[in-house]
Amino acid sequence: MEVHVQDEWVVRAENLGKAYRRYARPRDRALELASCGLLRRHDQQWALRGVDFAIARGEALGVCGANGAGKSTLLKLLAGVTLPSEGRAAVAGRVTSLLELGTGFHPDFTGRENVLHAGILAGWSAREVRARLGAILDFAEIGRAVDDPVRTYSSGMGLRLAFAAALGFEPELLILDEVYAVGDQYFQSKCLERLRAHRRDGRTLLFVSHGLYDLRQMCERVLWLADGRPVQLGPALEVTNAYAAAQRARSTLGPVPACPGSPCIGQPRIVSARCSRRGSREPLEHVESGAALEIAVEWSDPRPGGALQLGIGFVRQDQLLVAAAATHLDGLTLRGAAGRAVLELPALELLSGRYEVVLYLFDEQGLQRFEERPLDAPLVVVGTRHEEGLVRLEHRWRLESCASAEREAA
Amino acid sequence: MSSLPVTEARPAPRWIVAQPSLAARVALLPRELCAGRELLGAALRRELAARLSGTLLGPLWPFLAPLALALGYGLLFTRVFGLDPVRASSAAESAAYVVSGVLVWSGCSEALARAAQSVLEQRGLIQKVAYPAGLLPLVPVLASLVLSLAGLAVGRVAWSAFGGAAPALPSLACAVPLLVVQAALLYGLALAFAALNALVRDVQHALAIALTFGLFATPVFWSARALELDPALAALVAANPFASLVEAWRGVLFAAPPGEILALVLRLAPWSAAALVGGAAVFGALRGRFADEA
Repeated sequence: MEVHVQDEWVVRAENLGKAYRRYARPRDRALELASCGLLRRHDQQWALRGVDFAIARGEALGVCGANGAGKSTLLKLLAGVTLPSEGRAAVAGRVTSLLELGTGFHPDFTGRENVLHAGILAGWSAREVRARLGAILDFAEIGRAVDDPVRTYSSGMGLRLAFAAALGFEPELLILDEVYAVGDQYFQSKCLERLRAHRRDGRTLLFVSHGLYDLRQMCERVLWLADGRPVQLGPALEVTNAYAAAQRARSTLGPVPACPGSPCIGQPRIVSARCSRRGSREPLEHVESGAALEIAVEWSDPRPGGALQLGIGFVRQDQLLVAAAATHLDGLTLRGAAGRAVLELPALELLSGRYEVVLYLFDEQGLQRFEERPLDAPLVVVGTRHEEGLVRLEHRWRLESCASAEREAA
Repeated sequence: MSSLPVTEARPAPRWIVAQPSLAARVALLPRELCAGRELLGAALRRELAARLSGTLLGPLWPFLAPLALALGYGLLFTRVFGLDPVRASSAAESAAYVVSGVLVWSGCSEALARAAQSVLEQRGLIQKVAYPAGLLPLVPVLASLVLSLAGLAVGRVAWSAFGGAAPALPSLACAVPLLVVQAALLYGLALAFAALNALVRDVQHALAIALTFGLFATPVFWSARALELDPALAALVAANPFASLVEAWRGVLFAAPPGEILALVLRLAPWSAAALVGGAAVFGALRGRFADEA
């Protein structure tokens, strides 16, 4: 999604940069202050430089990058927490930034009092906050504890209340730094649904995450930052793939690490999985390009009435997601306490290479991951003839003489 | 949680620019005080509740703590050193003089000491939320003023109950302009101390020493007339804005002629204006660095 200046933008950054002052000793700062800045005693450390983008109203922009890339600095600038050192930024509309959960909460005050204060702190009038208070407390689901001091809450209750307070006021722009779902699986689903509602209402989202899947699911475009500089801004899939490849290159092309996200007790999980030739039950590790395969996944779901989605991705050694299939993308849903899903591939059109087959078990909407793990062994695809690239395109050639081509042109 | 409809009108964009001018940063202060009225009210209520919650005597403490200080120093001067630095007509009047001075001074001293630490103490907040930083020093200033007023009110009632003269309404009415110039003086100083202390933490320690010195340099335990100071020293005392402040409050409490009180208020006003302008300039110059360096 290309945003032009004349479009209705909610966020704009123009040559945005931020440098932090670095003093060797506290007395250097004191000397500089005492001299009204005439004695310069600090170095500048650029955390962000040359960032240009615009976010259209209703768009979700993700930001990815390694630690220290400048992601949080960018969010702080747009949230108005800190000032830029060069360039400028603009935000049209009310902003809620969730850079840290529970900011401004006082442990001696009740949950209700803290939510009231959090709302006013976020720039809403007391009348507006009171109008939303009931809905926010309902969302947090902490019951009668809402009138107890926050210091008596469990950490989970505190997080739920803080998240409900942050998302309860429905700003035009929501800025999230990693935090987007808290608490147990049930409450995480509620958080994700709340974010989906934010998007459905045509509101704007700016979202920093290390989770590339989350960025792809939640954002149309992604900005990749490295060492404070923008590397790429574009469609989420394209940018996250490029970022993942760069990350793998940095880590010397070792094996794909085991994916995070082990399932919790009492949650849906993948019981077993195997990749085999079609019609066979023998596990397969080497296969010829173009062969017929099937990947069978057994799953269980102890939740009564739960529904699941299964995704299977082929990930190259450099973390590039080459191809994927998912039940929700094909209009299917897994239901029941347990079952087996088989992905049939009549012809595996991948070319030579070593691929991880990564399994994802999602909630019904395909957003929340219950489990993400690769098959026990990678799949090595062997080419049967010389071909270049990643995948084989179904194709044919038509060869014609020059004379017949000229006749056709005339 | 149901959704509110998205406002159709496009809001005006809020530009965040690099290195705004000092004038723009200073001008931000009245704007954020005006826009942050509700936040200020909420923060003030929290500050007062946090100071008094869980205590048995609650609002009596703002009176009891200065009373203990007055009693201690009063006994030290009169009984141990055998001095009479007030020269009042009776011991009761002498006590009322000292207690009222201590109440006013304690309110100012506490306001400045707490305000100096306000930005530093709330750095967790200003590093995560676009908080109107100008409110941070104002909250402890107003909280201390409220508690100081409560202490003065309790003291005034106690003075009448023990046979002191009744308050005079015209004198009490002078408390309004006096409060305005006092708040301006304290807020101006608080802005400067809070901003400087956010970057150089020695400020709060230096301020604590200055406030201890100020307690004795201000006619709290003594009277300039009683000590018959030489003219140069008397002029120096008269130039101390806190001397005018303490004397003006004594006038309000003990029914001095309104003209006398207002003259002290007018003497204080230029100090308040200078403190406010200077404090706002220091705060404006440094506020952009709080989230990065505090």
